[in-house]
Amino acid sequence: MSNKKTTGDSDKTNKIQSQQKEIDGLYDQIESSRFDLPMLKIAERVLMVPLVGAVDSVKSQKIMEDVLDSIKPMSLRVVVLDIAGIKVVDSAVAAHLIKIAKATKLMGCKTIITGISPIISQNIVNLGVDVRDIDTTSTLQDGMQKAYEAVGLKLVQFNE
Amino acid sequence: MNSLNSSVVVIDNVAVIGLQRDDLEIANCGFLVSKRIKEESISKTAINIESFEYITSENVYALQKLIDVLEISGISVCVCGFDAVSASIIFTFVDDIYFSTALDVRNAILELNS
Repeated sequence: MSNKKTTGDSDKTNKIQSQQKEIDGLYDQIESSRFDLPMLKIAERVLMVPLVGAVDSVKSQKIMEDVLDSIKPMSLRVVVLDIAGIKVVDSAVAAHLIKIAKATKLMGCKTIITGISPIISQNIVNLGVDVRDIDTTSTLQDGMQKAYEAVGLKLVQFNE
Repeated sequence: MNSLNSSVVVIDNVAVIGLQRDDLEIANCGFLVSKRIKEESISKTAINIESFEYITSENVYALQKLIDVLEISGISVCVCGFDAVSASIIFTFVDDIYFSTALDVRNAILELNS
């Protein structure tokens, strides 16, 4: 009788432990999918978002939501998306970037995609992604210049 | 012939239309809006869709049709009032949008007068 009870308790404990393990796994999944996106206001009505690492559909959705949510409160006119830190730009990532650019345009905000390396531009062309309506530059510096011009600002060098 | 529920206000030589969803469902909506704007002798209009709680692909197609009618009549159009939620989901259902957009009425007026 006592043995039977002990076996029953042990089964319950094992079940609870396995459920706890499952819950911990789910928490880890949630934590790994959560990330902080740096949103840098670099001038009045200009936002810069540096993207680093791998961009999957969850991350790109988060980027789009964060950028779109910032447009109205910050009265943004230009969003600069720097993709120099993204290692792989496949068709899905390119499609996501284009979707972000189109969505921001809908809210009256222009998107400039900067940091496009030769290999990424080659990939985008090979994938047949149409980027004609989107402003792109190879360097962040060129992108910033375009962004400033779009809001009527100009970078001027002071001579000492 | 139906009449419009949408409001029309003239600000800085721009007819600002507070578009109501029901009006988009009227078959001759383009004609009615165009006639209303021409009555004000104005050639620029900002269509504000802020009152739309959500926007469907049918709404976007109807809006495009309305804008095409206005542009054929020589009226410049800028659509404003899209919210972040609509903007984030609309391109799941619609390939592209071929009209000028602005954040709000103020920006739409600035855009049309620039």
